[in-house]
Amino acid sequence: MVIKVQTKDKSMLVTGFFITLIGIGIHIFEPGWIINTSGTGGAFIGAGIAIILISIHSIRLKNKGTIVEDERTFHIAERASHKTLTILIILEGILMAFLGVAAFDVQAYPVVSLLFVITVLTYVGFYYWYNRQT
Amino acid sequence: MKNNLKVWRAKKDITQEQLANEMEVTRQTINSIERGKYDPSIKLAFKMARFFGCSIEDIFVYEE
Repeated sequence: MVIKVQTKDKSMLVTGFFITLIGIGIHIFEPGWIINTSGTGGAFIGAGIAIILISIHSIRLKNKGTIVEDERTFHIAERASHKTLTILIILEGILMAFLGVAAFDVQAYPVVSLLFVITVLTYVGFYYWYNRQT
Repeated sequence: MKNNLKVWRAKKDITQEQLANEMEVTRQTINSIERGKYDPSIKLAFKMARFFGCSIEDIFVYEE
């Protein structure tokens, strides 16, 4: 049986492999500039393995002849991305203006984490919404 | 944009899944086009017209 792997899937596999390697490296070498090496290493390994598994799943589906993405899914992703970007620009603008005038000493990590969660949830929400509409 | 895709598909006696495979799109895309929820690209419209052996205007009707 011949397994066809597209360039996109190959790059995903390589990316997943490298992220996993970085995670293993953090676990082994425990660099001093990282506060929580086990947590960071674990997160990298988890993300890397998740990317590898998603890529393998995608390769298997494509080899079975299942079409996983087409012009409609790209159209939905495009609309969801545009809406997410608009919301993020507004949110970050407000946040920047607020932090510029307020006398708060805000920690970077919680703010970045919050923005990350908002980005993911907004994108997934809009994707689901447009998928139902289109 | 309105379309007669369901009629053309019935004439050819093929399922949404079969048409989707021929057009290299997902079954959901064919379903969305038939329900008028999604307007296909010009490339897909040409592909469909060629597949059914008709013109694009026979399948898709543009209404202002």
